[in-house]
Amino acid sequence: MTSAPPPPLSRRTSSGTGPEPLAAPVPGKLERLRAGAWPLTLKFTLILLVVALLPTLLVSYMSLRGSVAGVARTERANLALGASGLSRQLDQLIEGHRGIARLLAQEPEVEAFLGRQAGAGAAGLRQAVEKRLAMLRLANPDLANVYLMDSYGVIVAANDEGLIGSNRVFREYFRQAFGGKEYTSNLLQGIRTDASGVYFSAPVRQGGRVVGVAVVKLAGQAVATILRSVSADFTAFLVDADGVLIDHPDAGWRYRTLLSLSADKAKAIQAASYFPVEALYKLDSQGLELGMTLDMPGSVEFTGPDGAPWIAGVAPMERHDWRVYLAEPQRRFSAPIEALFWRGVWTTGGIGILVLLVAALLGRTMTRPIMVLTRTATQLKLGRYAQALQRSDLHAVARRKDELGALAQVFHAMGDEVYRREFSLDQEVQVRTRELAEKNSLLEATYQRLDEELKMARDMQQAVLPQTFPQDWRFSVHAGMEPAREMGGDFYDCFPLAGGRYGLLVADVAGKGVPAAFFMAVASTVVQDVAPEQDEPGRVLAWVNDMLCERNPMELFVTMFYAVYDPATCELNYACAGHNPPLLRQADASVRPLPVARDLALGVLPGQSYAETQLVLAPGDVLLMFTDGVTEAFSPLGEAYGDERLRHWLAQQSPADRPRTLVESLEVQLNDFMGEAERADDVTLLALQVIGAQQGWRKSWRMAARLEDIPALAQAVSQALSEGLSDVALDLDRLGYQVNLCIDELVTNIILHGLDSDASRWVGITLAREAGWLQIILRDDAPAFDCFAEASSPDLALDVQERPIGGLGVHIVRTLMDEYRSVYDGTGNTVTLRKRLPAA
Amino acid sequence: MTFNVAHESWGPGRHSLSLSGRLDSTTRAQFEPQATELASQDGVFLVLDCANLDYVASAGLRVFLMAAKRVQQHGGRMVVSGLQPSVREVFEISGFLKILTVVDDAAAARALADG
Repeated sequence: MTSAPPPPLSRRTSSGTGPEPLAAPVPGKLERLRAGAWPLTLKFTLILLVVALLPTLLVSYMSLRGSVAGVARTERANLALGASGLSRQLDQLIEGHRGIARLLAQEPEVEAFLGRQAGAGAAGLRQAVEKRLAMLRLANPDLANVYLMDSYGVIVAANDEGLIGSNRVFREYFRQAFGGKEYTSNLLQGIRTDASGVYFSAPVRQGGRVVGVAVVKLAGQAVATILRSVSADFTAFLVDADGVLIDHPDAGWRYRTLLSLSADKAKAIQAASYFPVEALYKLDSQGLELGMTLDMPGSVEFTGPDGAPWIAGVAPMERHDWRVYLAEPQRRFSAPIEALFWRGVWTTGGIGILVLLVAALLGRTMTRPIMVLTRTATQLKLGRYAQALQRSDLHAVARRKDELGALAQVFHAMGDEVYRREFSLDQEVQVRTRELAEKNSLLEATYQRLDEELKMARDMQQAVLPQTFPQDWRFSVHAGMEPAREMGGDFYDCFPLAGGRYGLLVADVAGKGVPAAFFMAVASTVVQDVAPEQDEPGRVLAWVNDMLCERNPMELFVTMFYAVYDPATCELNYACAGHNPPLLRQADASVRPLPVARDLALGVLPGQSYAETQLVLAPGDVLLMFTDGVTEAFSPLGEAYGDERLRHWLAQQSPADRPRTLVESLEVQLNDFMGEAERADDVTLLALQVIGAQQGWRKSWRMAARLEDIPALAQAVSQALSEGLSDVALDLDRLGYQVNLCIDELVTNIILHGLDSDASRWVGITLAREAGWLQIILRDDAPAFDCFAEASSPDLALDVQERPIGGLGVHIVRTLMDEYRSVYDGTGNTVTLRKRLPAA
Repeated sequence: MTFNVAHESWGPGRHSLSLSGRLDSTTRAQFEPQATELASQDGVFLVLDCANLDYVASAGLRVFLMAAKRVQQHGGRMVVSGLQPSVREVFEISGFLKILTVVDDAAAARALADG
């Protein structure tokens, strides 16, 4: 029921070891811009702002807009009213002067004066008329001039004597009045007239016939005075029926037109020279143009000379075709309202700041407990229970009477509970951890023992393989096995056989581990058991196969290359059980695999036969036997060492390199190739190199085990030497003596001690000459005896009495020969002596 | 090739054995008793002349050593003379040139008896 160990939530864990999702996310720059990341206080403040201040500001703004609109309405009405007032004043002025002209024309003196002008006795009448004109002028200060014209359009009487005699027959006011109609001119300031004015004319009749015209000129100043009577904040101006601004306080605006004049009209005005300008330019003001369409007093908006919005009251005159505009900039009446508005904004702003402060304070009182809870929670998360649960600020929050106080109390209780649970969990974990540690150490000890045993097994496996190899001048053998990490099933062997031959083998058990190792040990033992009994390698493999098949419960098998090498003849006889073919390097550095029959691996099926192949090697040849651990060694990149690389490597090696060097350097090369990659398979190598070979001369004898026959043998040996070494420059007598002495000593030993002087037994003697060496081989069928190993060298320094009798024979052989060796192959001893020959 | 040994006495207690042929484990028996017998005489002066000794094996050397031991034990003197080069080489290898008195020929050996 023991569940899995709890996650590392112990009180001992320091900060930063908690599970990742619990860590507070660090807000990025963008993250802070999101509303979700804003502090609570800020949000609270914003809510207050939105709820309280924004409506106030909106209402203020709306009321401002309303006020301005209302005031503007009133103002426009006032302006229209003002314009009407001005218009009425002007109407009175015009009507008054029109009346003056009419009355003047109807006066009897005037009628008489003009009707009887040519007659005599008119002097008194003229006097009366002129007096009347002067009085009229005095009574009306607004009158610029008053005069009478005769039917020829010549001024005949005037308040100003300078005017008398002036002919104005083409003036509109004469022509109209002379036609019988009263006439009122525009406000003119002609080129000829220096002062502006309005001309009023009326026909003077005598007996229904028009005899002259009475003319009154109202000074333009009078019109201007009325218009300028408005307060300085206003601008009043006058527009005639054609839309020409005939009076405006701003000279720049004077004589501009509000309407588009037709070409004819413009030409006519121009021709009449009513205005002191050469051309009338249109004032592009839609507002003022609109004013020209009103039939009753009204108001318009327009863009003033200062570019700001203005409003104007417009009133068409009743007694004339003029219109009066009374204008003022909107600013004049909106400015106080705006000032009021801004005062309101500032007041609201001030209140707003106060509200913000209050909101911030309120917010803090709400968020502080939350922050206290957050800090407490953080400490709980880090496992600092004592610190978290004894915080004074947490207790302060818990004492509050509101909801946050309740939350803090619950939180404290929860932390306490968590602490208690964690504590008990912690203790549980400690107990379990102790148990686990005990089990672990037990497991460790077991594993260690197992490992040691495996190591011993591996060492033993290695020890089964021969570490020393036959030393022979004719050939050299070396082998090595680099085990994979696991126990493997590779093995090699090299053992002497009868007749001075050697058995060489390389094998690879399929599979790995202890079963493969066992199988390897069995196979190796079986081979060693069978090989001395059988000369032919094919039959050895067949036999081994049958024996392995007999007891092979795990159905393992082993591939094997087995060869019998005869150093005397350089003959190699081999058979192959599913093993990869060895490589043969010849003296010319060419490398080729040995041809092998495709026979079955050992241990698969009983009753198999294995084909043999014979091959004669030459001096300098190198035979490399190996397991697939070589060609299937993989580099860290997964590349196999491969046949091609192996062949190339073998071809590159120096001919002087002995098998030991070759095996070791290939092992280094493979290690370099594999690098850090794991050894997947054992690497096993066996190299055979043929060094010397017979040069043809060879002499053998077989003698019965009789000491008496030795002199005859000596004679034959001397004879043979004189034949076989005739080309060698050396003292043959001396060599013959030495050779015979050695043979004598050894054969005597063999006959006396090995063969018990049994004349039915025999000793074989061979002389051979090979590549600068003379070789003497003695062969017997005696029990194993190595005289070189057993006899100690005599102490030559001893004097006569102390010197032991005997022990000299082996000493003499050792001294006279360059190499000496004795090998027992199971059937007898082979003693090989070698003597270096001087160069021919 | 056979082995022969000729004995000659050329004065009281002065003996000379002339060896010829091949001295090995077989022929040793023809030489050993005589050599032992002469060497065991008190104060003997024994010359072993090897001028005609063609071959000696370790078995033969044993007899030389044994004789030398006997002569020494009996207060006599033994001189080896006339070693052929091959035989001399065997003597040398065996260290006998150091422990035996070896002279060039029989005349020189006999001269030592008088001197």
